Amino acid sequence: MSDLLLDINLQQVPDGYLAGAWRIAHRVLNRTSPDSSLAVATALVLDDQSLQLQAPTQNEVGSWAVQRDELLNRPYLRLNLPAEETRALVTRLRRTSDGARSQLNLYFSSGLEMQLDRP
Amino acid sequence: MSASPISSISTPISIETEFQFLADFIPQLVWITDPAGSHLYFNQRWVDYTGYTLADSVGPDMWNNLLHPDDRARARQIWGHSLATGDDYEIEYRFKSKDGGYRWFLGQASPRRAEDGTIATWFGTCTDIHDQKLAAEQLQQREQDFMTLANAIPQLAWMADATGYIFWYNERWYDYTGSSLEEMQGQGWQQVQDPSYVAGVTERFTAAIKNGTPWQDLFPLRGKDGQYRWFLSRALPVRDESGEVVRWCGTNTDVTEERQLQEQLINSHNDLEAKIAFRNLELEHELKNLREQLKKG
Repeated sequence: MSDLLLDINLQQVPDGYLAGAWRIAHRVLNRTSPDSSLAVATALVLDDQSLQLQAPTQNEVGSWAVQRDELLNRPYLRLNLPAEETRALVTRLRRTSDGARSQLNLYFSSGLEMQLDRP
Repeated sequence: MSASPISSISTPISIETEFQFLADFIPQLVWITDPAGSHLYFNQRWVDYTGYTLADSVGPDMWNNLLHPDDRARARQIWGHSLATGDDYEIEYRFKSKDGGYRWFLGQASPRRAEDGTIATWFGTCTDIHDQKLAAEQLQQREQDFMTLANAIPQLAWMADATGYIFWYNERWYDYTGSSLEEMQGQGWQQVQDPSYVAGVTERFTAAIKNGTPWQDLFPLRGKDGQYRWFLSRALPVRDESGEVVRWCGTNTDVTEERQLQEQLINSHNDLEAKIAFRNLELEHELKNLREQLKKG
């Protein structure tokens, strides 16, 4: 089976492709507070509508949803956490042909950028 | 004018004299030997070119002086074979002129046999092929230079005849595709194309061949590792003096990395546009919230 990650067309991406347990592989904070939950998170688990943010010191539980706007040709995520509500634009999604591996790039309204890997 | 047999010409002539004239007239050096290879006759051109007469041909000195040192052993071996077997003799070798320079000759000889089948004499000629030989060597050198150049360039390269039948590829083509000429000649290149591009590329290539116009296309070719890379392919017609297309010379330039960079640039541009639109939406969203809060207040 090919291990090659293929770009997914974000205009037609099924919501299910965005769900799952994502490990945060890389992040650029920009002007995001380095102490915020998202700045220190190690993983995001997007399961049905529940969101679990895993961090070295504590975990947080919230909710998430996929949203779309006709002005944007790609979906964005609405993330509700106890301390904050934020939105993240999906800038790239890559998957292997069998879906065993995925790579997700998010751009948050705060300027934070994240690359997440699954598994 | 009707042909008349020599015997019927009114002025009496000697056939021997006529053939002597003929032997001296023709542009070749002419010689005759006995069955053992000892010379019995040289024509005047032989004497004029070599400076040697029949009397000089006894013993090895004339031949050692006449033949180029690099040709002596080969000439001795081939002539010895003909004398031993009666096979026709043919060889290319260099003779030194009496003025000192060497020229290339084509030596040929056939045995004349007696009624009982034994060899009576050998009749031989030496034809000056010096200019043709040098031209052929220069051509061979140019071909070698071309091959070196064609294999040194970073592109895949090929040549086709006037109908578009490809008959030659450079080494890089074989190295990249892992194929052979037997597999690739003619339209065999379609085997290493992405199947979804074959019809379109073939149609455009065929049209260029038909119209005699330069061809350019962009398509992936499969390497021996099974992976496809993108190539910018071009071909130009080679015409003869009358303007007819006699050949096509083509190249395939790997542009995979350029394409990837171009795609990355387009992606980055699209990402930037999307991020700006996203930020605008966020600002509108925040503005709307503020207005609602103000209304409530």
